[in-house]
Amino acid sequence: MPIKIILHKDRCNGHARCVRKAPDVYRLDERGFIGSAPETVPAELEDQAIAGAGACPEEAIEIVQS
Amino acid sequence: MEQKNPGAVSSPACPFSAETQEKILHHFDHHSSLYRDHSAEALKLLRDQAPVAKTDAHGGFYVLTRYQDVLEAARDDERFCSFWGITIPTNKAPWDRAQTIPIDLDPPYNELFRDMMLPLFTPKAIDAYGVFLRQTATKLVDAFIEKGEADLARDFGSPLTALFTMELAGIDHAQADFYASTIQYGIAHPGDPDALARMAEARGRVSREVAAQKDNPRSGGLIDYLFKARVGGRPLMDWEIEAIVWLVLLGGVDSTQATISNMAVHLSDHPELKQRLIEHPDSWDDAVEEYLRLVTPQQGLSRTVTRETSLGGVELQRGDRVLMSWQAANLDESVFPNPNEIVLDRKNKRHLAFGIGKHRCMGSNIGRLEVLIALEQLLTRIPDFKVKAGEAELSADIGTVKAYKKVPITFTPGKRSA
Ligand code: HEM
Ligand code: SF4
Repeated sequence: MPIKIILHKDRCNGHARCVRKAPDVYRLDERGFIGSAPETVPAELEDQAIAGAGACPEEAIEIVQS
Repeated sequence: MEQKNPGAVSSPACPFSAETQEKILHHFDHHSSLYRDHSAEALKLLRDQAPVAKTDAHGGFYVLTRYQDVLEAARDDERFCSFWGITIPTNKAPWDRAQTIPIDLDPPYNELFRDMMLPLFTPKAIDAYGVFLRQTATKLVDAFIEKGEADLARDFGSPLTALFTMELAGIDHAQADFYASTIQYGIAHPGDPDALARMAEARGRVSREVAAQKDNPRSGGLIDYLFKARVGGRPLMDWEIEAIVWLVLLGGVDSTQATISNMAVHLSDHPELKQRLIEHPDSWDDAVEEYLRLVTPQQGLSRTVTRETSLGGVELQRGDRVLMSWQAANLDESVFPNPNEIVLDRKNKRHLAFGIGKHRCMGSNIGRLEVLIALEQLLTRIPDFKVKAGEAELSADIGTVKAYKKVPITFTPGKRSA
C-alpha cells in the first residue's frame, strides 16, 4: 500500500534530522525549516521517508497509508 | 549488568534504606553525592512514587521524572519560561539581562536569534566540520597510540571537542585548553567561589575576544558571522554577541566530551557490546543515539511557572520552579523498555538528551558527529582499550553535566597514522 506524507510545519523547529535520514525525500527551506516533501512516495523511497519521519523529534512529519 | 564504576547506570532495584528514600522523595538534590553515585536508582524511585515531587533543596522546586511531564513542560514556553534562569540554583534575577542567548530568552525573542543562527548548523555546514573533526581526532590518537596508555578524558574527548569549539567560534586554538578546563571545572563545582571566579575570568576573556575581533575578525568563525548578522532588522549589540559565544563555548566544551567519556567507560565494562560494534560499523549511529539516551550528558534544566497550572496531576503556582530531568525521561521504562540497556535496534529514538521544543539543542547534529568520530577512532585504532580498574573518576557534581574527569585506559600499542 503506498504511503502519503503530511507535514505539520508549525511544529518544525529546524533540527534537520529528517533530511539527515532521508535526503532524497525531505527538503529544507532557505531558513532551515522543513520545506517540502513529495505527497506520494515512490516505493523505493518509502523506507527512507518513514525513517526520516521517525527521526523528527518534534513529530512534524506524519506518514499515513493512502 | 554489574556496576564497576560509581555512577555508571545499572539496573536499579531500589537499593535505598527507608531514611535514604525519604531524603530522595522530599529533599531531592541533583547536586548531592547521593545523586552522583545513584542517579538512575534515585530517579526511578521518584518516577515510581512521586513523579512530580516537591523538594526543599535550593529554596524549593519540583522534579519531573516522567517522560510525558518533561515533554509537556519543555514544549510549553508560555506556562514554563526560561527567563528566570535555566539551572537550579539560579544566579539570574529577572532584571538581569540574558547571560546566554538564545537559551535564557523566551519566545518570540529566542526565535529571532535562533533563526539567525540556524544557517551555521545546516547538514551541509556540518559535513564541512566533519573534515576538521576527523583530522583532529586522528592527530590526538596519534599522540598516544604508541604508548599503550592514555587518559581518554584529558588526551582525547576534551581536546577534540574544545579544539572544534574554538574552530566553530573563530577563536585561536591555543585557547582551547583554558576554556575547556575552566568551564568543565565551573560546571562541576557550582556555587564554589573559586569556580565562580574562574568562570568570570573566562567570560571576561570572551568580551575581550569580541572586542579584539571587531577590528580584526577571524573570517569564517561564529564571531565574524555575528558581526554581520541582523536580528529584528538591526545588527547585534556587543553584549548579545558575547552571550551567544559564551553559550556556544558552554555547550561545546562540556556536554559532548561528557558523552564521549561515558561511552568509553560503558564500552570498557561491556566487552561483548564493544565486540559487536567493532564487527558492525553500520550500527555506530544507533550506538551514539543510545549512549545519548542512557547517560544523558546534560542531565536536566529548569523552567519557571508563569501562572497557576497543573502538571501530572500536581497543582503549580506562579513562580514555582521545575527541574525537567532529561535523564529521568530517557530512562522511563514506559517509553523505553529495558531502559538501562544499550539496545542498538531500539525503534524509539525520541530521547530528550538534547531537550525538546523551541530550545532544543542547536548543536545536536554537531554533537552527534563528534561522538561518532570519537567512537570510530576508539573502535578502529585502539579496539582492545580497557579502563584501568577503579580509576575512572566521575566529576565532583553531575547535577548539570554528567562527565568523567579522568578515564585512564590501557590498550595494545598501535601505529601512528602518518
Ligand atoms: C552531546 C552534546 C550536547 C548535549 C547533550 C546538549 C544538550 C543541550 C540541551 C539539553 C539543550 C536544551 C536547553 C533548554 O531546553 O533550555 C541545549 C541547548 C543548546 N545547545 Fe546543546 N548540547 C550538546 C552539544 C552542543 C554543541 C556542540 C553546541 C554548539 C555547537 C550546542 C549549542 C547549544 C545551543 C546554542 C543551545 C540553545 C538553543 C536554544 O535555546 O534555542 N550544544 N543543548
Ligand atoms: S526533523 Fe522535524 S523539526 Fe527538524 S527540520 Fe525536519 S521536520 Fe523540522
